Amino acid sequence: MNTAILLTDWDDPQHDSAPLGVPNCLLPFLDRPALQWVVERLVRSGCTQIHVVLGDHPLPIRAFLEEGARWGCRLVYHHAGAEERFGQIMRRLDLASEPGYVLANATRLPFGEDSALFQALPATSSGRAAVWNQDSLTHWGGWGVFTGAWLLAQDVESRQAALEACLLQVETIEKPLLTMPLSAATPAALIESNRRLLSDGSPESPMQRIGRGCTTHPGAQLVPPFLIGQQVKIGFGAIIGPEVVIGDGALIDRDAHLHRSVISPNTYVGEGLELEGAVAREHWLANTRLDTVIEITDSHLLSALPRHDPTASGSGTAGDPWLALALWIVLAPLQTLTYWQARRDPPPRKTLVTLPRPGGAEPIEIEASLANPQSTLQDDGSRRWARHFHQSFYPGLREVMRGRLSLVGPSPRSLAEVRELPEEWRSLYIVSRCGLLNEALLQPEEALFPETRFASDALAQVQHGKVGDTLKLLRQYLVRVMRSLGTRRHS
Amino acid sequence: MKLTVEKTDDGQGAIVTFVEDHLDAGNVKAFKDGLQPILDAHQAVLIDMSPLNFVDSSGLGALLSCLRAMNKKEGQLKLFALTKPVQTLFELVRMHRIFAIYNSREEALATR
Repeated sequence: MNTAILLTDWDDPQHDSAPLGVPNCLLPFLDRPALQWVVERLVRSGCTQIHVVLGDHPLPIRAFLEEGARWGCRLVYHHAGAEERFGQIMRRLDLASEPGYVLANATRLPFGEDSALFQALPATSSGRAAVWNQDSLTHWGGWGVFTGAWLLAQDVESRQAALEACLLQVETIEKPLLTMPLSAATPAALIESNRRLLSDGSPESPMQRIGRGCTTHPGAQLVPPFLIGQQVKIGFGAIIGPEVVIGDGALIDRDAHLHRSVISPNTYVGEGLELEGAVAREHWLANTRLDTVIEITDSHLLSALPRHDPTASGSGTAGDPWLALALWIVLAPLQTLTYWQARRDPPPRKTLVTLPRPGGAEPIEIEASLANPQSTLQDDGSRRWARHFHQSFYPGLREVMRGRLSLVGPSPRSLAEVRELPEEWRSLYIVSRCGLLNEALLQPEEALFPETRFASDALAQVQHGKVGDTLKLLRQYLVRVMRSLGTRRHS
Repeated sequence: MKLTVEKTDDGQGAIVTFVEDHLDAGNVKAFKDGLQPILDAHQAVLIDMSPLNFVDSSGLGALLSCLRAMNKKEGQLKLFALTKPVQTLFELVRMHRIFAIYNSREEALATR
């Protein structure tokens, strides 16, 4: 039994096989996609070759599995049409009639003791199917070992339910009773499966796992069981758990409440959101209580975070220089007005500051007033926005046009300052350019605690390159500048 | 934005129904402009949300400003028959705790 047949699109067609933008088998069981658990289990049971039968969403699955070397097996891909019958597909795999083949549904995984399933088949048997009972009904768990002859003879619809109806009637198929398998077939099943995995330890010591490089604000509350992946950031006031799984690189903003939910890797969960019985992946949200999936179009609520790739050039948005040029022209009259308002202010220091650049590129030198825009917001609250515009923002547009700064990005900090930051904060500067605008700039100085600044820089990384968010920040900023133009200098 | 308006049986309230299936940045101003006279003229306004399949944050903001306007004059704003996608969004941003939300028109009318 060294060959397996893995069916990746084999669930009930009335359920969407990719409601959250990726095939269900790529959604996570704890710290890795269900598909990875499945392949690892097949390899552990002795399979050295796996026929992967691809359905409606072949590309992401193929991209994830690649050629199989990293899993320790050989993968052979087959594409199955929606109308193809099960027997037709099996014939294309060139199966021998006698040996036993492991048949597996990619969204299911045997749970608990399952070694009985993988023992050699007796000569009189057509196969062995792992079953489980619920409400006095017997169900097939989607995994089994069958002879090639039996598989080739099944002229049924290529769905687990169709083969289940067939195999449960066959007496020559052994049916060892196992526990209910884990399932990623629907968002509700995914949450339940993660709950079971989280509770798999003893009830006295529920799972509390926090990955490497996580940042959790002291004001956040973690209620076990939970699993938090690597490089996850959790803001002030957030309540995580019980029964929550958060994938690597996710950002949970302040005051978000997560309960009995699964957050996919690199997903941003916005401030104050409440997720209960939910699966969130990038800008998709499945609510299992209402049995619905929605797409969230507001990136400040739910969105995809850029994946941390230190090798990326971090070249930023191609549109930024053009937008900066347009702003340079349109805002020229405002620059003249702010000049009159700020003409008696001391001119900005002419010193140069070295700023880091993403992707390990050479640092750049930039004028101090641009490198530390908060400095131009100090004192004289009524007119500080006009001064900031005149001394930092408008000159900074030139740097954006030259591709040295972004319009929206983490606050400009000198290389020395960045080196002093905590690792996760520093990592923002590895992948993002410093920006002229972000939420921290618009906050009152007294509200800017370190965690607020960090959250703002992380959010800027999310907003970077999104025209809607850029214009929104720009509008808020310009309103402040315009208001400050009308105020008089304090004596 | 087109809204259909009917009076409640007691004449004190209005039942507003969306004609479009979305409330977002593209039609939110028209919605506010269309609803404002109705809010001004009635003590209770019931909004039939059943045609809406999509609301974004600007739509949520518009509904909040309507609620504020009604609270200011001590009137009532009730929403009923939210579709699942809209209800999901309301729950996500916790607005289901702020608004009076009912399953049906009858339930909204029966509750004072």
